Amino acid sequence: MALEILYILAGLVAMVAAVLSFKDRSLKTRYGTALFWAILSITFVFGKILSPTIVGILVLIMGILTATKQVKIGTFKQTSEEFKLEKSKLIGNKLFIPVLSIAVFAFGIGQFTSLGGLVGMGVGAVIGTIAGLFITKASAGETLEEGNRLIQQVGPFAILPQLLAALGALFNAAGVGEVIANGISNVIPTGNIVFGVIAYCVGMAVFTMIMGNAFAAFAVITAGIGLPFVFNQGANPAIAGALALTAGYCGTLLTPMAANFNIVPAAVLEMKDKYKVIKTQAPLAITLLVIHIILMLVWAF
Amino acid sequence: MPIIGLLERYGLKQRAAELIGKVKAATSGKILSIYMVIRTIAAALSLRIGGHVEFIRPLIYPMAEGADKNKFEELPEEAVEDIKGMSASVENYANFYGQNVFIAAGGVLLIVGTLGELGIEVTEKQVSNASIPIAVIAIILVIIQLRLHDKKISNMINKNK
Repeated sequence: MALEILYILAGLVAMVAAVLSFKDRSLKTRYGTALFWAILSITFVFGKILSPTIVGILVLIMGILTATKQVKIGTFKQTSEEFKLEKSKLIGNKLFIPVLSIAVFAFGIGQFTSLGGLVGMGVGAVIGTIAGLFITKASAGETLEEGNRLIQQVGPFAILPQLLAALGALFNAAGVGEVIANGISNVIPTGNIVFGVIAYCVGMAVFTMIMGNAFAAFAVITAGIGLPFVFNQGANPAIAGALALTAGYCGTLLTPMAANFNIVPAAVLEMKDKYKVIKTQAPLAITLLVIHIILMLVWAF
Repeated sequence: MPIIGLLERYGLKQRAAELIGKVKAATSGKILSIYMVIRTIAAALSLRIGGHVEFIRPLIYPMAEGADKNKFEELPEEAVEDIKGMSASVENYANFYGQNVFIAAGGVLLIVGTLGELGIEVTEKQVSNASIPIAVIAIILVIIQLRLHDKKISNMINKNK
């Protein structure tokens, strides 16, 4: 119930983004962009009542809007650097209070009540917003505008995890996981935990290097290798799952496919060698991958 | 989201930059070690303090290079390139291994969602707690790597003399 209220609040923030991008005349694709955020808002607010088929169709429309480049970031009133610097001096370290209150509530409610961390997170965000309004003496309108700016900037990436999780299930239903699992079981014996864990961690890293994205790799490799060779062998799922994803990040450190993290920074810092970042990261990434394998074996079983 | 946006408008990043700027450390490795710790904690709280364009290029890299220039006066080109490489890498290390400690991080939701679809129930709290050890291990390993980096640079200078 509490979680449902927070989903509705999140939906309202998306609705603000929809209304403001609809009114943004400088944005050429304002209809498509507004529609995107409006649909997202509807799925958040009415998700419980709507039938899965309708939600599925709505998500597909969002996908089409994104694929046809109808979703763009609008223009925002940006404050100047001087304004930010001046305010930051004036307000001082009190500026960190709202942020810390989010963390404290998320942690406190998550650890000590039965409501769960996500509810704590939401309660913390609401309290943090009120504290923030007091400390900065900003208007409620400014808060909405800023919420709009941030949600649009983070944009479609904000909903990526939920969609990719569904992708994993889809792969499983379509039998892709089984094909991978069968291929792997020709090489390693089922039931051997050591080989299973090695295959899961290394598989995550290698697949991430190929795809350039650990999230997508997680959905595929967990269905294909994680489930039969690690989780079904009695691993603690939270521990093995958490370590598998960060094992994938070891792959991210090694691949030029993750251009945002490895290639663009080399340009930003004007390095002579555009692979310098990857070369610097390689020894650490490989060491960490080995530690992931050991930690999963020792801690998850 | 509205609250983080509002705080950014009122200078959250500038404030963090000032705090980091107050740190006076002797070498590039030490400055980057301090950044590694702060950035990991920020990632664990989902604060957007960081970024190659926002933080590394304008603030952290100049501080790291400045520290070594102060110490050694002349820096060979190879050393400058090494400092650049480490500066960019530290941002990735802290971001990657710190973020899942946050209970509503994208990665945490992905793990809970994917496992849920496969019929395995886990909670966000369990996953984010399980992400703490690797964050700590990453900090320790990175500090070791940065120590080696400091040694390499001081060897480079001594050889040139």
